[in-house]
Amino acid sequence: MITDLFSLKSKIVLRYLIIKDFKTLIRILTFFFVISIFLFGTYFVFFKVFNYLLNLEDIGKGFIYRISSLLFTIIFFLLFTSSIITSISTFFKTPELEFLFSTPLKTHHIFFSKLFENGFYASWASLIISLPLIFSISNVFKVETIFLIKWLFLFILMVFISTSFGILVVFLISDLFKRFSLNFIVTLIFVLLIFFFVFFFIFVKPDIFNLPQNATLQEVTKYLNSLEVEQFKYLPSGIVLQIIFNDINAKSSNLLYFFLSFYLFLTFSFLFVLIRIYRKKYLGFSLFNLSSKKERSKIFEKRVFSKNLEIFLIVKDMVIFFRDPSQWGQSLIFVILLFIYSFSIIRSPIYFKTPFYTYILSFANLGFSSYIMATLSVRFIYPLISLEGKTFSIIKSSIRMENYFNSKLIFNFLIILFLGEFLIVLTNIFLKMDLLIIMLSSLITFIFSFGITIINTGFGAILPDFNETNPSKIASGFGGIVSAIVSLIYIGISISILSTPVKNYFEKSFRKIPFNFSEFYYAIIFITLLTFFIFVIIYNYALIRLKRYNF
Amino acid sequence: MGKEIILEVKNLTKRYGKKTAVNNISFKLSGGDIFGFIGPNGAGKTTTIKCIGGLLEYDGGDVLINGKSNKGFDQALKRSLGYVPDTPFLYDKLTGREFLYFVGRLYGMDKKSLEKKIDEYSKKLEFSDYMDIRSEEYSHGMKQRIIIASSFIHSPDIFLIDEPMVGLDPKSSKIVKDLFKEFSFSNRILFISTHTLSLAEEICNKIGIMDKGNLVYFGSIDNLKESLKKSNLEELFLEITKNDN
Ligand SMILES: Nc1ncnc2c1ncn2[C@@H]1O[C@H](COP(=O)(O)OP(=O)(O)OP(=O)(O)O)[C@@H](O)[C@H]1O
Ligand SMILES: [Mg+2]
Repeated sequence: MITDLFSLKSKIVLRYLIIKDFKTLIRILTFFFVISIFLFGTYFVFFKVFNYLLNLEDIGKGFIYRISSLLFTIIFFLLFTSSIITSISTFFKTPELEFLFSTPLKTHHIFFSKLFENGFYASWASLIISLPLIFSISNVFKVETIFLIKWLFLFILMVFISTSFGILVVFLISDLFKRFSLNFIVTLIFVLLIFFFVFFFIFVKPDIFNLPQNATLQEVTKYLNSLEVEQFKYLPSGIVLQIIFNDINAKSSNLLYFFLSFYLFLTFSFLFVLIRIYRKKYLGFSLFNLSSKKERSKIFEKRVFSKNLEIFLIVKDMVIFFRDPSQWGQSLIFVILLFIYSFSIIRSPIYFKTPFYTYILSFANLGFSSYIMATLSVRFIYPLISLEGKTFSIIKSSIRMENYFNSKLIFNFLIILFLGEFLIVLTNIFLKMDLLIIMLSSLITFIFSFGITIINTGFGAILPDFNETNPSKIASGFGGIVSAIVSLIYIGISISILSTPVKNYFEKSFRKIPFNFSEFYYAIIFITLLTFFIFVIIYNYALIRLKRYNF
Repeated sequence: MGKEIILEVKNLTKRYGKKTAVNNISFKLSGGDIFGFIGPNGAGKTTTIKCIGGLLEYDGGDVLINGKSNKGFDQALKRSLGYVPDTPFLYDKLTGREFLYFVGRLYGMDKKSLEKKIDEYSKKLEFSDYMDIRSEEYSHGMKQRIIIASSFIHSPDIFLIDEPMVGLDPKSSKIVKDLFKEFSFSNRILFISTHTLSLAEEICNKIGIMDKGNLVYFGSIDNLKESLKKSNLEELFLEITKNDN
């Protein structure tokens, strides 16, 4: 019976690819085109950077290892957290479950099919970064194909382990939610977070801060090599990465395989327990049904009759957002990610004081902050229009689409701008960048925020899904993937335009040669034009689409 | 055959948080019964049906099917139940026929009898025209007919049907009603929750009236009419639930 379920599921997936008409054909082709451009682009960037680093003696390999290790850790947390997010809906909330549980299917059949589905939903976003990463490592170090295959297999194991841990957390949380009130739990999470970071900061690695500010390159190298006790080394991601680099260095990884098997054993054991309790958990699941108190929202009622319908619509979006724990729960997860990121940054400046590293780092920082901005927008901004659902037709009859779209655009822009500037200015100060770079990055972030907002709000209007009510499902659907990738391509192009003048600036300021600022101006003008171009196209097309929907 | 089918609900209680949705209700049905479950919105009908169908954990009491509790998972027990939810679920990308195949397969039917049944019900419920297009293109009533067929094809002993008439046009409601009527000649149980009082009045031999989680009446319509001196179910219904505002 389990095979029936799987063959049915694969049939459903294949159905998405069946070409019924010209429009679907275009849709599918665009999809594959965009995805492959993105995969190749990312691969190419990694390959270039790694190749370049490899030419630096002493430090190159260690540096590649550091970058990959940072990325692997981020990927692990992404997998883990997105699994928490998606498994709430795949294991407990989708309407399909009621159907499946009403049939004679055994519980473990349902569980396995959901495990598979959840792994897919939770990992696609990190796959489009990690696959190019692994491929580029294998090509830069010119390893045999068999190693590549092995690494991909190890990576799949890592996906399996990290997403399973996410599922475990959801099962535990659902218990917690049943026993305690929501406020108690939120407070508890915050307190734990604070404790965690205080601990992390003060106790775990206090000597990090003792490295002299003016360390020489040798010291830095020594330091890099001595960074053995990394706090994330024994996460599945750290283990897999170490095995990869041991393979490259032709070292044995017996102990690491042991750890990996231990993780697998652990995962299988708790999955076994989860299967046993899954049915009972599903039948009694009430994560979000706790409050039976009646709420009258003053701000909502006040705004309903205000003259400005645009503002009311935004207030409505916000009220809905804050009443849905899965929504703000996910923002909380992003905050945690940002924390982790900022902490890695705080540790960095000490050993990255030469202009070359500053250059790389300021760039990586801009890239990563924009990546976060893009991910956030796909998750929270892209679904906004789809979330109107069937109500959209009512909204449409009461407000001009231009005003509707503009108000969404402005509001989203302000939020993304605030977040982006906050992140970029803060991290740049930690990195002790000079004023020019800080100003430059915040100007670029301003432009990026605008670009990212128009892409995600625009695709929200161009490729909406009015039938789905779960925002994280909307974001991981077809339109969400397209707008994620378009955002990332946009950022990639802009950053590569910027890379030449910034590099020249650092090189010249290091050698104390006067720098011609017009290079910057050209690059910025170019990016502004690109953004404007994107704006005009997407804005107009989005409005055409918005005006066309009627149901 | 020959064995009698009995559904017994004993002191069933279900709470959502602090709210009691179903409050200590008990009743018993046996083969051949067509049971109409009526009551105002939010009375607890859907909740009761889900508890009986083993789709919701309950806080107190028990549901016995042929003397066996439905608390644990039991494949044979699942096979003997047919459940039609209040909001029809179909896989968008599958056609109606494929969905019926899938369901038949899950209930362990062989190909030949499955095809025969699909053929039979596609004629009865008149969906042969569209059963080979994907269900994302169906209207609500079209979905509803496929779902009803999906629970009929594997001929369960107990049918639990939540609001079968919603979205059906007059002709289809008539067809469905005729399908239901055949039950009084079988030894199976048909459990329908409905707001269509005329349906209950016409085909049901027993009715239950829910109000705010309580089963305020259980028995035959005639007895009820007599005791309250009303001539139709609508008046009765309003009389019994009049304390609501
Ligand atoms: N998931 C849930 N969480 C909290 N309360 C719920 C939930 N589902 C139902 N309820 C409550 O339980 C009570 C009974 O609901 P139920 O859906 O069983 O009513 P019903 O009789 O089927 O109504 P209708 O005729 O509208 O379908 C209602 O008061 C409702 O508010
Ligand atoms: Mg109901």
